[in-house]
Amino acid sequence: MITLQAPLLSLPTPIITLLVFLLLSCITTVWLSLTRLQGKSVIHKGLVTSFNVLAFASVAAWLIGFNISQEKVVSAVLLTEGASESRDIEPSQGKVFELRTLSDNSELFPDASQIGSIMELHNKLPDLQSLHVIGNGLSQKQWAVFDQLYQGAETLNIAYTPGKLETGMVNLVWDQQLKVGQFQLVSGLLQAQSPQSLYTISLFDPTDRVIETVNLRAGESFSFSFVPKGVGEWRYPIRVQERGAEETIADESVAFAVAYSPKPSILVNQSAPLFETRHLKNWATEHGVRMTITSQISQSKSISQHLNYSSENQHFIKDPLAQGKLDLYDFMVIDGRAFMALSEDAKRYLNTAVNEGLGLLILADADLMEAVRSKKMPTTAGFNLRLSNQKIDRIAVPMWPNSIIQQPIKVFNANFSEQDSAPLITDENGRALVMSKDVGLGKLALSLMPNTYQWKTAGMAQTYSHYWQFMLSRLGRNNDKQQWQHTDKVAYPLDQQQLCFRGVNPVEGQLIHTSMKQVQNLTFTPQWLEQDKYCAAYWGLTSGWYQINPNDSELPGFRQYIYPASNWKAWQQQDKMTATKAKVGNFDLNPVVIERPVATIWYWLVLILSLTCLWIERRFFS
Amino acid sequence: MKSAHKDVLKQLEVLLKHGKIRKLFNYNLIFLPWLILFILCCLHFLSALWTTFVIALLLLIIAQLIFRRLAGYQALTVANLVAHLNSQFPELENSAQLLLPPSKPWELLQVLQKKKVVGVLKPILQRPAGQLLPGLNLRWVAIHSLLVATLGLTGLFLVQMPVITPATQKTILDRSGEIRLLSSSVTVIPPQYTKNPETESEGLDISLIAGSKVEWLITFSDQQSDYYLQLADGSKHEFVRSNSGEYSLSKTIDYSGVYHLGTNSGKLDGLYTLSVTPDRPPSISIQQPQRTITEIPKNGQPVLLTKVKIEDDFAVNKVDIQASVAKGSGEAVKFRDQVFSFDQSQQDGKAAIHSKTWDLAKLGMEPGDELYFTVRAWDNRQPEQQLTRSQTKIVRWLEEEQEGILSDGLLIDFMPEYFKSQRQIIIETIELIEARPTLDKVDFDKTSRGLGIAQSDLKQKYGQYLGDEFDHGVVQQMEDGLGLPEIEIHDSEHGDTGHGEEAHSGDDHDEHDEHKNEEHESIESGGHEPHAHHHEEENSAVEDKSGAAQMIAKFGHAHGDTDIGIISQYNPKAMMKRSIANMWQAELHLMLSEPELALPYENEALKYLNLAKKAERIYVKRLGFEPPPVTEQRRYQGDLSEILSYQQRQSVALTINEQDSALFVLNLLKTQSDAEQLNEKQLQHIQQVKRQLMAKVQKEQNIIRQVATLERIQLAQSLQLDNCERCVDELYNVLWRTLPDPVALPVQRQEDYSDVQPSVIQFSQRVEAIKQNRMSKERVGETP
Repeated sequence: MITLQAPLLSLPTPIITLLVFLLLSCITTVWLSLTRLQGKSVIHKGLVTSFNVLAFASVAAWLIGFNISQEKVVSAVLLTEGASESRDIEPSQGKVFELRTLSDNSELFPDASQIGSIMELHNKLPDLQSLHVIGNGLSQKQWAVFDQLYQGAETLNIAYTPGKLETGMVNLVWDQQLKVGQFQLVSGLLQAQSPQSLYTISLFDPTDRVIETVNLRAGESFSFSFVPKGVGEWRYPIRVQERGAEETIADESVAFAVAYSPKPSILVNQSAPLFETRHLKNWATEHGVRMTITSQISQSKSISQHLNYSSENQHFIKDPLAQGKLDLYDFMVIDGRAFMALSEDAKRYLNTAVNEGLGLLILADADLMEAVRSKKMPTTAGFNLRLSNQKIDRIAVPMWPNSIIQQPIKVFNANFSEQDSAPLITDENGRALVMSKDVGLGKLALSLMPNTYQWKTAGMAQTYSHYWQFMLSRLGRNNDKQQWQHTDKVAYPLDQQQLCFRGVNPVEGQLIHTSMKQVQNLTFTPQWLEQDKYCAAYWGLTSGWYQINPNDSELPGFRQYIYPASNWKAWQQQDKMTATKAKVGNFDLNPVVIERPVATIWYWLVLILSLTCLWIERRFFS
Repeated sequence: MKSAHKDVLKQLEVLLKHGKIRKLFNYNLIFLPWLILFILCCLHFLSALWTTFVIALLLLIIAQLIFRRLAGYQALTVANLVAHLNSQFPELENSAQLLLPPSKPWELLQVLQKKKVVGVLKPILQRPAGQLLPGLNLRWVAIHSLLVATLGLTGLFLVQMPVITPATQKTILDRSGEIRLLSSSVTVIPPQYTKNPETESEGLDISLIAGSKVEWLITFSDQQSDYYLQLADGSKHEFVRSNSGEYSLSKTIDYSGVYHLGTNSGKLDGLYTLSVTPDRPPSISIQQPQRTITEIPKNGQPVLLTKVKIEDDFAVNKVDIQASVAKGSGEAVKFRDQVFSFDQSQQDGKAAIHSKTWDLAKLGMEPGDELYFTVRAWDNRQPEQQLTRSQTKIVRWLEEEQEGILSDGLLIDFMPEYFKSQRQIIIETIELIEARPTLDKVDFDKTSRGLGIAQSDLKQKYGQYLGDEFDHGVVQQMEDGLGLPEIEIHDSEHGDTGHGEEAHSGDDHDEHDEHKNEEHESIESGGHEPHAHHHEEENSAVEDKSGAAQMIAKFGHAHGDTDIGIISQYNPKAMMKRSIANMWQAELHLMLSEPELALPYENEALKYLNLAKKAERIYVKRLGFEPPPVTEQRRYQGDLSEILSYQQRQSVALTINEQDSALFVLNLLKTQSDAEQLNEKQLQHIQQVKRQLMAKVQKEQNIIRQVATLERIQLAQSLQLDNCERCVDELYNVLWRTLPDPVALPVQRQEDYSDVQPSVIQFSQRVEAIKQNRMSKERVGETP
């Protein structure tokens, strides 16, 4: 409803004076004109009087300043990316705004008002009560801004009409930071408009050669597993095509960095030189790992080998099993006989060391099995082992995450009881071959596979190395110091990123765009709630690879890829649609009274018209 | 009088026309040089003849229209003409204008004068128009022509290159001062033995045959300096300067590589490739006999035809056959070596087909002797020929008569005394498939069936280890229990083979219910349910008189027999059964002359055979003697005085990781911006990678392009290269391809700890308990 409102009470005194003067003048003028028009017709007199009054009234109205107030629900239509061209928008839905993205140069709706951000919408419609969003919707960040601007936006009606679904990959998960030799696992879902069509998703290597291909339909998941070639920054393209078609529907890439990991230090204690530990030694020390191997060669004699302790580092330990010395090692391997032969003191020190973080792997051997069989030990290092009544050993194919081995090896024929922790490695039937448990901060494991070196000697060096890398990564001492913490979420330009470092305070660092060599300075601040954690916020201005280097060159760097805003269209669409759907809600709205002043031009038009008519009357009819 | 006047007027009109024409001609004369200049400019810059012609024509037409509008042309009127005549001819007494129509009637005097003028003018007008009209304004023509000529020459001077002065100073440098190649000519002279013609080219990227002589003839812009050519190995070869200013160099090239040119002041821009194709040794393909061992029956004709196809990329110089005859057997065997030549040779395109007929008797061989021969071929490479040897073929003249065995109606002449291995069967199957186009159908079928028989032999041999009995050609498995009574088959002739239980076709076939096996098998292999089995031959065979059932029993196989349960259980017996199942299928297809279909089954059979052997090995180990473990009491008995307990420190060299450089360069190619200068470390890695690629270039000549790219990057010290459309991308692809999958490296465990982790809670509780314990102990200690 539209009403006119006159703010009479708020008028200043001079205006009131003028209004009074105008009134008096109007009365005087009307009387004089009536006097002049004596003898004329009533209609003539009436018209002259009306025009006089109208002229004075227009001036008075101009002085007063009338407002038009209207009660209505403030609504708007917001067209976002993905809104269809053919959609008809009813005028009653409100003013139409089109949210333009940086990459969107086309005007789908010429009549819509172009806005670049939610802020602009708020500027134009601060009293927005009902919003109809069409298209992909707004992202979570945009909704957060919206909520902040329209405080009390929970009572704001939000309606949503999704746009056409983009075909592409969504909800992808992959590690953006890997170590050399680690498997990369890329998994995700296919989103497509047509549920019946069959699509092909292919993973390519950086030279555009196909690694793997899967065929699937909309809504189905996929996963790829591969080992990157080595250290560096890699982008593996992943493309979607309709089955049988040449055209690529979606072309994205998974970007990740592969780096060297800090090397553990390993202690081996064995009752006799073993092939198993010898090959472990070869593998580890060839890659710079510090290792101490103590081999018993006689009843009371042993040889200790200290490998890769350089002349600058004289700290190899003559008696590693002495009190407090085990803290210098991250991982310890001991065979069954040596374990059983440990003195009480050594066992106590070992127990303390494991509680404080050391990883201990016991390699089962015939002696240990015999001890289990003859029940000389109630538990085997805390594990409840039951030997099979049949032969002491059997054949099994070990399996661990991403293992590709198919050849069986000989393992001890024993079972772990269910009370123990989850198995680390199982055979093809799910029977545990390596069982591990948490002991304090460390890990204790018992392996029924004493001869994994066969893989190495059979020419499967990669499998062998992968196995031991897996074991070290699961059992070794946890190095939560000097590690970067960052979410593996896909980042776009101008998204705020946070990077944290555990350990020493990097204090300051530099964010460098690898190609363009743009440098931004970063400052790391300590986190109150977590000790030894220091975080910095940054924004990538453009897409590409970024390197974050602490000023302290001793600390490792961090690499991250920031995707162009136009990438992952389907995924971004899904995120926006999900965020927008969560906002949809209908509430009872109170119409808003909108007041606006009457335009001055009307007053002048009325005045001029009146005066013109009066002049015509005077000129031609007097 | 009036007519005379009119005549004069007409003549004046005519004269005026002439005047106008002359005026236009004058104008055109002035315009002509400009038009010519315009045409020449168009031809020079546009090089379009017809376009120029059309434009010129249009200009000419437009010019004519313009000329007619000019004041000078417009001024050509009768009145002006008459005035001109008055000035030219005094006898007209300035009265010629009286001839023109007056604006008012003449007076008498004027009329009289007009008459007089008519008379005078008439003969004047008889003169040629050239005498009456003003002459051509050649002065303007000359001025314009001169102007055009000046402009033209100026333009010519500006467009043309400066003239080269005669050579007292022979150095020609462009504005930048760089030395340029003015001309180059490369002549490649292949080795004489190749009989390839010489080639000449201007490009400096050369493809040639190993051992070719390359002659460079180059003209440089600076003909004062000394130049050299530097190869990839660093060797420099000086150019020789001739009197004409050309530089020449000649060298024999044997290996691929890159090279560049240089002078004393440094290297010249440009890196060039030498792509060398090596001379490959001859290839020998023995077409006949196909099989490695050929057996001739005792009473058979001891003659064998050998056909060999030999080809080389250039020519084969010499071919012979190196043969050895083995007489005797066991320790009394004697060998006699001899070299033979082929009887006949026939050219077949680039290859030659050599044939020889072996007469074993003429070689002095007897039944029981063997002949081994190898074909040797030398090519004509200089200076050193290349020799290729073929595989050795064996011809065996058998000692004992082989009984004929009938199988499916075919009489097979002999039976081998040995078992072909599965691998040999696969090799021969592949050879048979390849030889299909050259063999006729009968031979092909015969060979295929021979392989089928060999496969059957092998199957039976391995089946025996599983306890299967092959009595009269049918698998009798131990699990079957007693077999069914033998049955006579009427329409096929079968005889004992003399191989005991091996029978390729039995006259009596046992039909047995194979369902009985399944239960036993499934128990052994882990409880796998038997397949539904459709062979119900138990009773049908008794009544079968056509022989079909026996054929099915012989060449079909019971699926149920080979159930081994879950494949992942490496039971050697199960593996053997699976292998035998595949052998059955292979045998079936071979007997049906379908070696292509048999080959996959043969490969599968070999695979399971190997798995069974591996499992068998472990199985055997389990059965083997395992000494009892040495107890600590018994361990290390004896004199221990010399055993020392000591510490040993070692340093292990890190694995030489060529991959590191390749990875470094790979990352550099993708992350480094083109214009940025490369630092020393980056250049070192590039050098390392270049070295790695150079080591491979002899085997893969295509890599030379990538070596050239790396060299160019080194010279430019950046990734920005001229004339490099995709060279960096290609280098990236090649480097990527050379990288093997990495070996996993030792890592540290890196997990986030949080207060809610059980291990953390447990540890903190433990620490708390220790603290409490200590505190209580201290309290107890304090209390008196």
